[in-house]
Amino acid sequence: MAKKTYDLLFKLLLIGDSGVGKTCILFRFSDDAFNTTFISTIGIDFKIKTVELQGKKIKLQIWDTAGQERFHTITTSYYRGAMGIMLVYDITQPKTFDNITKWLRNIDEHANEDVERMLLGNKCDMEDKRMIPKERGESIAREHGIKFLETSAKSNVNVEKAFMTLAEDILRKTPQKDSNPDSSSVSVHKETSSRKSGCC
Amino acid sequence: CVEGILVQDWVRSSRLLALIDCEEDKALFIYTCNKTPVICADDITLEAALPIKGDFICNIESESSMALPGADVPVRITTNETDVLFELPFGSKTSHFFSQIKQAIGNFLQQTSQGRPLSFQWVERYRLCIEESQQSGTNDLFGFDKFQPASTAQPHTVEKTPPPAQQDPDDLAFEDNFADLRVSQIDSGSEGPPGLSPGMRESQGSSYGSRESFTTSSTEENLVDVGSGSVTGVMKTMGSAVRPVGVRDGIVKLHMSKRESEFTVLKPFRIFIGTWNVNGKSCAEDLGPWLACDAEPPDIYAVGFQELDLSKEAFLFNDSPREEEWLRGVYKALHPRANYKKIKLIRLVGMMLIVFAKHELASYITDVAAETVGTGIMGKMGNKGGVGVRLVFHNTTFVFINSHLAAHVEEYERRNQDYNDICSRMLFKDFGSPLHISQHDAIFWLGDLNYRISELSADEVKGFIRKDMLRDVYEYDQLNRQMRIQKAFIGFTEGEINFLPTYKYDSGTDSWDSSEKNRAPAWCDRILYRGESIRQLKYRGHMALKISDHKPVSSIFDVQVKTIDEKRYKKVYEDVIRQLDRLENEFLPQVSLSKLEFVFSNVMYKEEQQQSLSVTNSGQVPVQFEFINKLDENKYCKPWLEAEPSMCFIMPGDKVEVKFIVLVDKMSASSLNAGEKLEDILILHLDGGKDFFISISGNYIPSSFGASIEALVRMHGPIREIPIELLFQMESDPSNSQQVEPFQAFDIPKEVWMLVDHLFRNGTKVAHLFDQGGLHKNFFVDHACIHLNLHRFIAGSIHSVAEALLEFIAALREPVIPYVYYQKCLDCSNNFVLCKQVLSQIPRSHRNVFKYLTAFARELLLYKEESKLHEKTLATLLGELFLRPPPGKEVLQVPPNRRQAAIQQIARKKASFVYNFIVNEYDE
Ligand SMILES: Nc1nc2c(ncn2[C@@H]2O[C@H](COP(=O)(O)OP(=O)(O)OP(=O)(O)O)[C@@H](O)[C@H]2O)c(=O)[nH]1
Ligand SMILES: [Mg+2]
Repeated sequence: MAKKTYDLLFKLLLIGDSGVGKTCILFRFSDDAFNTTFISTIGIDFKIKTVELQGKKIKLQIWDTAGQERFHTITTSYYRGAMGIMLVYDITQPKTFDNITKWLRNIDEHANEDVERMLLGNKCDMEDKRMIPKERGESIAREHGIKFLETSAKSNVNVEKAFMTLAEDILRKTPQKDSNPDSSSVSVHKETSSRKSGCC
Repeated sequence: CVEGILVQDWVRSSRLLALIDCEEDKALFIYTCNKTPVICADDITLEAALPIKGDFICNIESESSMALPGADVPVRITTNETDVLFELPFGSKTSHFFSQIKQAIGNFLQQTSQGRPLSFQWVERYRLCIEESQQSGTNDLFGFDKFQPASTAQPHTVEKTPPPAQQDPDDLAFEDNFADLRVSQIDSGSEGPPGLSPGMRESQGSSYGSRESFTTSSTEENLVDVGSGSVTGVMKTMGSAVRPVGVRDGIVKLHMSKRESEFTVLKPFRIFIGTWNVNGKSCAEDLGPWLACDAEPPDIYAVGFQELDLSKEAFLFNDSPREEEWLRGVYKALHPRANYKKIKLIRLVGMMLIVFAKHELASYITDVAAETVGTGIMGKMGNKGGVGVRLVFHNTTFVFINSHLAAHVEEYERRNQDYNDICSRMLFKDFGSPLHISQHDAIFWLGDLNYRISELSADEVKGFIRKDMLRDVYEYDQLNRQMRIQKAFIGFTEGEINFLPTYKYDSGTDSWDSSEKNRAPAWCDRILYRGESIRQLKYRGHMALKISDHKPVSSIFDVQVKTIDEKRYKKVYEDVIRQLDRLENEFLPQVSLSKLEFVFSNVMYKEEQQQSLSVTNSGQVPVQFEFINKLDENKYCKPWLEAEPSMCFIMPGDKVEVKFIVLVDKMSASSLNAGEKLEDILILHLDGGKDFFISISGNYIPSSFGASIEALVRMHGPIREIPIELLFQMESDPSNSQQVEPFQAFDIPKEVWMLVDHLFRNGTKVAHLFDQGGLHKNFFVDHACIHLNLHRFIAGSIHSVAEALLEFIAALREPVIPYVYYQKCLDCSNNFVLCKQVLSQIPRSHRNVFKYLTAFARELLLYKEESKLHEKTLATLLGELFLRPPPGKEVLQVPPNRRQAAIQQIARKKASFVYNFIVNEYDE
């Protein structure tokens, strides 16, 4: 029973136009809940969630960014610390899909070179209002060599799967440290190491 | 001196308690352990010094029972200022310490009753030290200069510990938030941890009361001489010094054990316990009648021997060929209907304990450990004492103790003492904190406990036995009596004895000791147990084995073992992790802001505007916020903006007002004139948490302050009547003008002309025109006039007008001498001809302003007497105004030691450049 609480910490980032549902996706994943009222994110927020992958406990620290245009120059400065980026559009808003290329360019310019990316077409519960066929999402993802899922934060479709897939991709290329299960020494370090702030 | 655990609300941490006496008076010193085990004086810090006087009370907390052998003793110490609870390790050291404290209190009362009150001045000294160090917030190891324990200062132990290696910060960033938080709360001491809701604190406090995670470990004795005082003995803890609740592994474990019943299922398992004092004989007998006399094979065997080897070699070197011999004998005789695997064997001299388990169960046995405690000669040697094996079977913890206690009929108190010593000294290590015997679910105690029959003669005992009156004999059994008066084996149960005394027989027979000593028969060999889920099925002696002067004893138990349901375990585990994640998310710093967007309308030059933002700590933990720089910027906001405070610490529930101050001055006016918007986004960052973006916007009313000479000369009306786009265009491209400009440009900006003209008419004979700053208020009136109504007469004092003129020149977007000519002018400043040459190159409107102002200066100098102005003063003043270093070149690239000289030299050059023109008439 005396296992270490977690072996790894992954920092993930959610980006995409305002209103596509980034905050909702995170809220669904961390609290398994959904809220219809739209409170646009004015800043950068994060939540943590511990998951288990391949027998390893991984702490995900997921950063949610403001999607509003006026904040873009500021939010790009948060890309640097991220190990994985979730790029979200809204399948009912063509504009948010059109902006995907712009977001991808942003990632190229500002994120770590080896960052894992993933594309999400959110609000797939609104089939009647769909403007972007699934195939278009798939093809743009294929073009950029990244994974793609259609999600719904509202009806809990693929949200967990998306984060797990992204985490798995990061785990795959994480060099496996020789983990010495000396839990007592670890706890000593935990007490003494200094606290770290911010994401970048 | 004794070590103990300080019990605070929710955290236990080890302390070292020392009774110090100096001459007559005594005091209790409490040290914190910076490091364990405590090796040198640096490892401990004096935390409190409590004089033992009238208000000093030290009591064992009565409500907690002392029934558990080996359990820590809760001791409460109260004085007028202090009230603390310690847990001291069970054992003779603690009771000795306790009695010494009592003695000290008695001594105090005696002294005072004899009219000799004790001063305790020496204690005050230490108390002052503590206060000082606590105020300064440092962890000074004061007091040790005079206080170095001589015997512990051996060179090899006084090494400083290297700082603990830094954890990879990325790995544990958030753990850190948590852990740090807790640590700092511990530091905050008696106030209690800030920021935790009472409910939370309570639950964690009680959960950490679980003995599983916090106990003292083995203790060592050490005599220490302390300066003039003397300490009777030191015991050390090896537990860790501070255990913040934030360390998540501990919490997970704790929550899991609290919810154990949700994922465990009780299943019965059969345990065989056997004990035999073999009197040093070799294994020449089949042990089957003892070990395999039941129909069902047991799941686990714990077989103990005493006097396995009576040789000197065994005693001195703990080395015995008998070990292997008896192990084989036992192994052969285990129940034939099952296969067994040896789990652990432990031997101390003649005491040996072997644990076997069915092959198929071995994989469910984990965390096996064995320990020995000698209580024989000098209280240490292994001729008497106990050996123990602990293990975890499924999710139930087991411990088996095989002991051989002190011999001789009258020594029953010694046997009690041996039992207590084994309890306090038998510690199983390598499981975080060392485990006591009492910290196990199922405890089995077997062995030659050596308790005899009191008060009856050998013949009387034999008589009862012959009449089959075992119960009557049992009434005189010492163990029975000691247990009844709670002197030993408290909490243990022994089954009813239905078998003959197992001692003492003539070897090889079933007949009682026939030697001269004619010892009374006794039940020396016993099996006791403790634990809720244990049911005894059999308890018996085995007459068939004859080689020893003792008969073996055995017992069969059914134990309800907590087996883990993997599926349910996983579910509970995930649930616990989820709860902790939620807790951690809830404990992130949180603030609520009154507003995220601020609009400042009609901002004017040098007119400050303020708005305020309230930041409320709406989270559970103290918060520190700070406005942080955007990427590639070296200030958190634009030059015309200021936040006050820009960094602040807020306690939960508290509120702080942040003022946003907008002030456009000569530094920022020109870019705003040139079309830059009054807009900024500030990043309010919570340390260890999220960031907020705060938008600031507004509109700036352009002013002739900060405009360029080129634009100004083309504006015939007030600047505010010029369409903003045209203004921006003029500012962004001052040289190209003709097509937009309907009329001829002025020679100089009308504002300059107006101000100078006013001064010329009214101020040439005023003393110290430029030295004496006008009142600020007037200045604003003036400058409003300048751009609102050109033709209105300028009001206000003459000094304000003078100041306005200087400000106006200083704020010009490009100085009178344009940046590109700056260096040239400095270079030729001592040569009037060259100076004139440079001047002839600068744009006409600039040259006009220059000429106009120098001419005005010459005019002023005509009235030197009245104006009290000197050429040099004026030249210096105008030099600074006309010659501004180009943007980015303000800081001189010279070594710091020569910087002052360089600055002075440049100031001199500027002055001499202008000086040329105010002492000489100048015209093109
Ligand atoms: N039908 C449906 N609505 C959704 C879904 N996800 C989000 N929404 C709604 O979309 C709106 C915006 O969601 P948010 O998560 O706040 O958007 P955001 O991407 O965080 O926006 P910014 O914070 O401004 O960048 C809200 O009203 C949500 O209720 C979804 O899966 N299905
Ligand atoms: Mg959002």
